[in-house]
Amino acid sequence: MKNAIEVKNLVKEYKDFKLDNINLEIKKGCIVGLIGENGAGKTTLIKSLLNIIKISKGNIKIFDKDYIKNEQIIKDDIGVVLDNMFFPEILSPKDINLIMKDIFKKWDEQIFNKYLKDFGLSKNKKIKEMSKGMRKKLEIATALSHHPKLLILDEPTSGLDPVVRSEVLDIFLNFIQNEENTILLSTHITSDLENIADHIVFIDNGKKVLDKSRDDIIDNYGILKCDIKYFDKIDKNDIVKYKKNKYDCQILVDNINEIRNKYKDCIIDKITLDDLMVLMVKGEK
Amino acid sequence: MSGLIKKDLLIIKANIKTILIIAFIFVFNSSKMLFMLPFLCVMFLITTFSYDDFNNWHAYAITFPSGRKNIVKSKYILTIIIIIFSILATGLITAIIDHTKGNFDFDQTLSSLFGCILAISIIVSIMYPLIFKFGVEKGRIILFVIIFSISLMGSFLISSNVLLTFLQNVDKYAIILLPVITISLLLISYFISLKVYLKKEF
Repeated sequence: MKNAIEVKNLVKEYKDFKLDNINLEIKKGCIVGLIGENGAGKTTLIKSLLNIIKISKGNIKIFDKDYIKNEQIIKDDIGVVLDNMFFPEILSPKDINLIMKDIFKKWDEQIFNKYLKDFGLSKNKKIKEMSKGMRKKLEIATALSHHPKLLILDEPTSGLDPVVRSEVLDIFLNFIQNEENTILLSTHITSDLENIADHIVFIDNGKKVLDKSRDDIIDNYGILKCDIKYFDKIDKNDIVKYKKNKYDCQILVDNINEIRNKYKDCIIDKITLDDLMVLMVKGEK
Repeated sequence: MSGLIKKDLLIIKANIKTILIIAFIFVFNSSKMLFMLPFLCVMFLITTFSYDDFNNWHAYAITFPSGRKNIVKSKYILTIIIIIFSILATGLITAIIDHTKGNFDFDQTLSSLFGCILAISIIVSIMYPLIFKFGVEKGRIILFVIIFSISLMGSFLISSNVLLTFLQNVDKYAIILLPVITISLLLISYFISLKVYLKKEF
């Protein structure tokens, strides 16, 4: 098995939105970051993978198996954190443990209790009495406690303070250490991905616009900043996207080293995922 | 699937104080009010759906290996358990109270309990597919409309004496008819709910 997730020509149509012909291969042992604007289709993609919504067209394989035909076997090995979808809030972590014991074959009470302790969560506190950050931590603890092989996480770090966030990211890094486990996570906090993701998938307006390894992006993409008058001197083939301001302009380039040699009098910065997102979405071509 | 049933039982357990307080009020009022108990239990079953909807539990539960079918099935099994349990409890408490007062009428108690079972099965069988389709909030409004039209129809039937003669004849066969009617109602309802739920998106 090479790929944990394989998506072919996935289409999901709504009245006012369409997830358009997504092809995706998520290699086993990787952390893949899913980025995009609000409403770009990240959650729709994640819900499609989990059969929470029915796809209009296409083909999805998880662990090399058809995701509908083998749904039950597959889902025994998946852990999820979804945005605003969890246990009824009147329940407590203790209740969750009692329930999950019967749901997942490999539910590990000891690990669950250990996570609760590490995260400083009380067993008897009802979910509705927890802060947003505590709920997120509980959701993450729950997702990890049946020894899943694949984690599908929608905004798992939102609402967490920087200290807990780095704690959680360490857990994720640890999780893939055995090279068998895989993580797909969507996030707005792109700096998290710069630290841990092996691969970045960028979705905009229902279409996949970028699917590259993090190193490829960090090493090769850059922003060329120049005076607005200078813009016309730049070879159009070198421009991926550009954004013109009143006096200057920013140009997204995907081969930073060549560009540095070619335009020696321009400032060319390394890219952050945030800048990449803004330029890809808002920039012109 | 036992985990799914457990989840609802734990929700009911978290509400147990309220249930017991209301039950005691009923008992101290009049033992005849006890027959409201099973209806009260059904009400609490429906609140489990409210909690589910409020925290988008269904979307989360679909990511479990249990599968959509078992999510629906667990609700029906739990309902049957609760109906049996609440009917037995009501019957027992009524028998004890009436016996101490010395006015225990076995036949009457039994037929009241049968009436309860039938009424609850009808309510549940109509309500669950609606809740699975529309959610609790919208489902409740639609149920109100349905019950309103049923009672309108019912009052028409009663005034025309058709129902009364029918019921008098049916009474003798109630013991055989009741389980058949109840089970078929719940089964039909289950298959409708299942059909709705397998297609539903969250």
